[in-house]
Amino acid sequence: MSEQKASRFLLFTITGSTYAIDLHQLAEVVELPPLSPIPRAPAHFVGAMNSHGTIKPVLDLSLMVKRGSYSPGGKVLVLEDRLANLAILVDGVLSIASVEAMEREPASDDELSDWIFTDGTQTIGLLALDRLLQRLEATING
Amino acid sequence: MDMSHYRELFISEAREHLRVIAGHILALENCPEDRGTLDALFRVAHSIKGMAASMGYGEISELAHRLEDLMDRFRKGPLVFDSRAADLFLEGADLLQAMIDDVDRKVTGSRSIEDMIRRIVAFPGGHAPLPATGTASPASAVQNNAIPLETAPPQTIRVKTDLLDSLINITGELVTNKSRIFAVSSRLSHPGLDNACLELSRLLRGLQDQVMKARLVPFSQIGDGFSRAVRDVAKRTGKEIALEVTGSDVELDRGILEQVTDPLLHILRNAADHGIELPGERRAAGKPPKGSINLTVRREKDQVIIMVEDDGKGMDPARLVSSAVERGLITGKDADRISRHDALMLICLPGFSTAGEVTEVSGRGVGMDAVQSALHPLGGRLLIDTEQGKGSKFSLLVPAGIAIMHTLVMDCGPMQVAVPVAAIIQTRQLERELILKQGKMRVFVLEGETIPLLSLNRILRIPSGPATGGEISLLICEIRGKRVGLVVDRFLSQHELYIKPLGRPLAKLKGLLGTAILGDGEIIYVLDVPNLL
Repeated sequence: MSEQKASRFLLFTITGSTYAIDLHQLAEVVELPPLSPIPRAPAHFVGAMNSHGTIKPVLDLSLMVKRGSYSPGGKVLVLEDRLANLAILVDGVLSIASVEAMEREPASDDELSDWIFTDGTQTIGLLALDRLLQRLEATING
Repeated sequence: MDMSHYRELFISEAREHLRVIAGHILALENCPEDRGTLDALFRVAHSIKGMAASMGYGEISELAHRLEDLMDRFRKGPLVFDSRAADLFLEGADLLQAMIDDVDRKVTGSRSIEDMIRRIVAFPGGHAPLPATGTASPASAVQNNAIPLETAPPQTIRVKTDLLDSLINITGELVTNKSRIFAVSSRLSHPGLDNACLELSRLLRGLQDQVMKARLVPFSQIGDGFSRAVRDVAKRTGKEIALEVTGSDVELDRGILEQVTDPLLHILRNAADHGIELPGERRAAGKPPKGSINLTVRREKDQVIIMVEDDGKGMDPARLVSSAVERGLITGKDADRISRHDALMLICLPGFSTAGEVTEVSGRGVGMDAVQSALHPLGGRLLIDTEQGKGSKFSLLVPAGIAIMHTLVMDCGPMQVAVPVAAIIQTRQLERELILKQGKMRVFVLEGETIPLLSLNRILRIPSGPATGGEISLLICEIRGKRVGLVVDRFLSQHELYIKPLGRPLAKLKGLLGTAILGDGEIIYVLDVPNLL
């Protein structure tokens, strides 16, 4: 998917770093709604939201990677249903961008990305969604 | 013309025919003279031939044609349908199945039918001339032998299963919405609105019933494959086993039926492989050399009970306990106190069956633990009973329908949770004086049995509310075969909830069946009580 030239990405920030997620993987971006706690879920699942009649667990990405918690005024990225039943809480949303003009290289030492994009001035981590989901599944029961 | 729709129809109809073929073959093997089954098998081969020919699938039509011819030779005698014939027919059915799978995957020319046809023509041995190549034409497929026609079935149409899934989804959403409207109506208290709400409620119940009914399929849809599985094990292990299936007309939800297929296959293979003894052993034990396995399906209220009973060697609880201790699954101390029921359930612990016991037949990486975990998300249960030397009995209890569940909703700290009514033995208010201390545990006595008290809030890792009043609210349930009293903050009311699975990644969260939305938009979690601990 991300190999395609036409791919466009949403750029967002968590704890000062910029990441990119393929627009095809997103259903929508919303303000943080009221959340209801999820019994027995690990702490980085900060609650569940009612998204058009479907209950979506909300993941605090900063908390998961132990870089503190989200900042107030954060946004929620609701993932496409076919990928996961999950919403991700991030600090802020920057823009929609095409990144094919940028250099792409393997990420080293980033637990959220396999690839990073650079253009000399900034680096953007490409969110490795599948790895993230596998990690969430593996650690779900404590 | 777009043939894809017809292709799908062909595939689904052909598969349905093939599903019953195995059952007919095995029935004939047991009772070769049964004219009715001979005719039925002939008809199936004939139908597949005709359907395939009209779709232009020459090789499928040809193979079905040859099987039909062979069948006709059995009908006319003196050829007798023995186990060699059964083998050949089963093989032919497998090949047809594979070819139809190819059609489904749009793969062509990957299989050769020549060898199979040669053997069919040559049956029961000797040499037969090579069949003339070329396929049966659609015309000959139709004109061929005069066959007894089946009586006209009630009018039906085929519906895609996703459509059924989407119908249940919409109905579920309607139930959720009805609760919302009710919540508003009770605040407004307008007579006209109240009446409309009642009517809506009545209509919805009707819709729900009908949609549920549309999803029901008879157990026989999967039951036909089971005889084959048992027969395969018997052949490979040199045993003689008769499988009798009763109640295969009992209907249950399509989704649930799909979920119980693999667990049942596992239990049946186990019964054939580990339960039934070799003919010699059976004779020595004063039993008939042929073992029997009974698969019984029956409906009890909202539940379907599927029972697998064998007359094999049974299990020895003491031996199960000692091998569980050997494998470090339980401690010696636990072993001393273990009840008979718990001892039998030990076989469901992951890691109980070892490589030494896993045979070629049933060692496919699934154990009884997989059976257990397949049942829990359905709200189902497994019961095991056994008598040494006499046999074992495995019962699967599953709900007949899904998605919309009758639940009891309760307060639990800051959230509300629901428990399926089917999982509750009873609820009660218990006076605090009746709570006893036993070591670190709090217990109470119910009908002479000491029952441990557990805090649901603590299990769910939720702060407990202040202890108030002279009574506590108790939910008495069964967890791992033991009755426990779950202390809850407060019972609210019974609700019909449309339960949605949590999906990836939270579906793996232990102890939760799914979520639902109450009338006021509140999110509610439905607990999987048997898996709470």
